Amino acid sequence: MLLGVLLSMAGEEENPDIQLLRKAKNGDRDAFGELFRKYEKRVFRVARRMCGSDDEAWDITQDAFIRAMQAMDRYDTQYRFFTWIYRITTNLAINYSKKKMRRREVHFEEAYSAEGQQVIEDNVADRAASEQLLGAVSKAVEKLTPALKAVFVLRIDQQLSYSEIAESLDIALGTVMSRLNRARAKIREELGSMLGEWE
Amino acid sequence: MNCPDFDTLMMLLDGELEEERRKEVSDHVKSCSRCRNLIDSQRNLETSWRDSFVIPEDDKFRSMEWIIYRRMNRRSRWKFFVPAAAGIIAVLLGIKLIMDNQPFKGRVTELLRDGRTEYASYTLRVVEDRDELPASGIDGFDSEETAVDSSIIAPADRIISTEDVSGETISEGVGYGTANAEPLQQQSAERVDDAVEYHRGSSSVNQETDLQSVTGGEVTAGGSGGIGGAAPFGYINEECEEAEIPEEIIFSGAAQSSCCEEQIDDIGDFTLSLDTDTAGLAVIETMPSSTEICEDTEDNRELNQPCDYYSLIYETSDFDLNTAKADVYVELVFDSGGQPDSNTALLLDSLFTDWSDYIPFVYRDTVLLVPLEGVSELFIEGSAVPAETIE
Repeated sequence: MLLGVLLSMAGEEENPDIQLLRKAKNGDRDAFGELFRKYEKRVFRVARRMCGSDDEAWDITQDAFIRAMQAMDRYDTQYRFFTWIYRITTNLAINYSKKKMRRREVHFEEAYSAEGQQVIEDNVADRAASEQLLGAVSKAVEKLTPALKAVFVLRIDQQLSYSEIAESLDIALGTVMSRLNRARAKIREELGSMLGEWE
Repeated sequence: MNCPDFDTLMMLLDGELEEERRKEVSDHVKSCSRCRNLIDSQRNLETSWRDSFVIPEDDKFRSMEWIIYRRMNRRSRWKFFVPAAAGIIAVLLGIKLIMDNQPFKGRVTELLRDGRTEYASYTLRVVEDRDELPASGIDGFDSEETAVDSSIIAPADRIISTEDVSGETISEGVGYGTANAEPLQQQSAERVDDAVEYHRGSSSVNQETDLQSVTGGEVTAGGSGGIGGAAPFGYINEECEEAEIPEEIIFSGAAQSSCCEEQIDDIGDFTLSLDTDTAGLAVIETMPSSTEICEDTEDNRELNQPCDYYSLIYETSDFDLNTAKADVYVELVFDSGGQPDSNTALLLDSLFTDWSDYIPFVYRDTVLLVPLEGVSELFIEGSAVPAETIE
């Protein structure tokens, strides 16, 4: 027991994020700002990738940080803060997706922005084909179940390692691998013959 | 070596294979065009998807930061949420008065009603908001400090802080804002060059008594943009030594401007025009030095009450809010400042979820724009009030 407390305290001392979190919860404006700016874009990206619109992503981002502060007493300091905030974010996004699916309000068309397509256009010679393929990839990702999508987003978009994904989602390493493979297989299945253009 | 399965190739791509296995698979891929193409296509696909993401502008994150911080540190709304039955009825009545005008066909003037000030210190109006002006929301706050210092409560896309405009010159200043106070804080400015002011809602620029010169200014008032005492009229005062009137003043939405009667004659030639696409009316209020009864003439519309001013109301044509190009808001104008009283708190709580995140205090002349949908929702709830309680 005592050892656990000591380990926890040691972990906290080594983890500046936890110190910022604690200060932020006590109303320290600067600490909150520093913590938020450190993770804001990562959280938003995950949220946006997981859900269907910017508005939803902003809501999830907001809730994720608020919950992180509200629930900091339950935060296990043996984990890294970013995996914890990812876990909160993906859980929020998954819950949101489930609610939306129950309401049958999934809008695949919203999954990809025209602005996003513009970026890739510059890098690929065949613009029309790449646009079409990119749009198809986005739709395929959107169609993934929330559980598969969470693993795919954390791996591909956030470039987390398998172990970091496991820690973030609180699942076994083997589960990460199987979900990621299923996600990739489903995406390739969705793309079908379009993939031939890149092979 | 036979071709590895897809999962193994993906682990190679992810850098997750053990060293020995990685070398084995990697050697195979180098000599196998099929596997190499598979990995390359997957890498391209995923890289393209990852790189296609467009991060929103930093301003949005700063606004979000502010919102979250405020939410985590806000005062309890219940502190001033004291139930008051009379207040509830008054609030609902005030809104019902407006909503009785559904479906909002007809002149905007018919929808302009004062709230029951004996119960709550606010005024409700239905206004039309030009869609090309900055979108509503809270994105515009530069910072919490700016918002508070400038008494900016409602949305503002860009606020020039008081520090920026307290000097002698404002050059190329752009102020967007639904501001209860002075977006540009021009009281102490002596000169405004090429200032472009966009005012939405019932923003106002007041008390520019020390303004010495306005040149090349453009004022576009959207929504019920009030330009009370400000450009284009406000600088016509005793202290004004040099005034160049804009040749054309365009009012959009329900624009309003006022000035003192004795000064209106000093205004030079200019064209007053209305944007007929969006404008409902423009009210030019002149304020006599003594209290008078409003003249009941066609041009000087009587407001059915004793008043110390009369108005020239220029109306374009009847327009249908149902087909209006812009969004429609209900505007709440607070007649008194300070901590929201219980009636006001009730009103806000009904209309605006988490309002206390944005409105720690209500300043005099604070303006809130509430989307019409929110009011409609409240009206539905309000309709449950027993009929006998509605006068």
